[in-house]
Amino acid sequence: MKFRNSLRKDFLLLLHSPIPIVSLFTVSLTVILIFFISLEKPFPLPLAGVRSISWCLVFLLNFILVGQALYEERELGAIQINRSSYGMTTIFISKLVVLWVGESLVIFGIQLVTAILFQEQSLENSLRSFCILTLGSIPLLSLGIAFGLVSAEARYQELVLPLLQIPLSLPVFFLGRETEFRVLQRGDLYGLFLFLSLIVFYTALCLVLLEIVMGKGPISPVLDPKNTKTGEK
Amino acid sequence: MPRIQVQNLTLNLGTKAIFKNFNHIWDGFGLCLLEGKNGAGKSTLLRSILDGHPSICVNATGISFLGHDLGLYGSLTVKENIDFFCNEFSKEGISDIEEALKKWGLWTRRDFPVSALSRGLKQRTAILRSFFTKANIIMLDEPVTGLDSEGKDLFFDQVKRLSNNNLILVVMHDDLEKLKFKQRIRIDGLYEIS
Repeated sequence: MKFRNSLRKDFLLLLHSPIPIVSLFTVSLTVILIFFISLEKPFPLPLAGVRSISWCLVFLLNFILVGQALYEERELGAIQINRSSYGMTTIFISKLVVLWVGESLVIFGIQLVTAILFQEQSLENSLRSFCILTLGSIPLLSLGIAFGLVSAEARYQELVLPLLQIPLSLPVFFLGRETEFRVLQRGDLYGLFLFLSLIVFYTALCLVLLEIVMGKGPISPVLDPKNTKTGEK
Repeated sequence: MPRIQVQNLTLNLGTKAIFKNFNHIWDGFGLCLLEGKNGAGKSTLLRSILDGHPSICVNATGISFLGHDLGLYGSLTVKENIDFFCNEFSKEGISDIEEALKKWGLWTRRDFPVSALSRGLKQRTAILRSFFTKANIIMLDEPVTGLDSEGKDLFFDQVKRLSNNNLILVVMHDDLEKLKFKQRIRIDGLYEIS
């Protein structure tokens, strides 16, 4: 029930302010067009080059999506109330699900545009790329949401968040790109298994981190009443 | 019965100690006032209770909090905010939420995003959010800020009613004569760290 409420609220937030999705897609399209126009012909561009552009876009746009989504939580202090009534695990998972759906839409757009412009791969490979990119966005979003919530009350949140997020996001970026390349070129499923393990590890790590740092509820064990004097300061 | 037990609470803000070995127990239902000068640490104490400071023990079904931040989502409508925060915890059901929205003058604006409301209407929404809860501890930090006289009267009526079966901690500076407090705690003075 709690999770359903939280999920509903996050979807409503996404629907009420669709600007993040639209702006993400616009920025992606702009970047792809810049590459498309500026790269020398003849096409097709090497597969690795096109895939790297997509991964860079997902890596960078993840920051924008998470930043805008967490702004809603911070703006009027809703996260503080949510935290005590819903718990960090519920908040984290519902936000992850909703942002993942949103980001998947943008990734679909990126795939479509790159497939049309660069014509570098078959429909089947495009679908595989889409799946790996959307899977790769899970740990990136997990890191963003976890560190975003942890640093929500930090004075220099805009500075703290990227400093925490970028170093830990890089392994996902590199392994994801490598996995996609291997799957598309050689059908290497062992690499995919490694990548899935990394996704599970990162998501679990973020959840544990949140619970340790912020998960302490307001109801705590009973203290010793003998040592407490009423009204003394 | 709701109970808050503060034992040897020491809180520092920079080089200043706001509380040093502060002890207190709030026990049972009723309305309790926290008073003191600006910067004395009243809001900090409420935040510490909410955040579950290790020196504070709370026995309750939950804590509802209204602080300086309203605890609402600006892009959600009034109804969506109340539904989200109260759906799980409503004591009296959805029909009472509708009734309350009408009573508090929010029914005609129920489909407005909170960010489009005036300060007073935002405050009314936040008060409603903090009142419709299964929590039996309610903490209100300067709750009448931005309310007009009608809003204040509604608030005082509601607080009187809720104090019969909830522990309510309230920080207020004005209109104190309109409420009957079970307990008044004065918090003032900063302590230098020696």
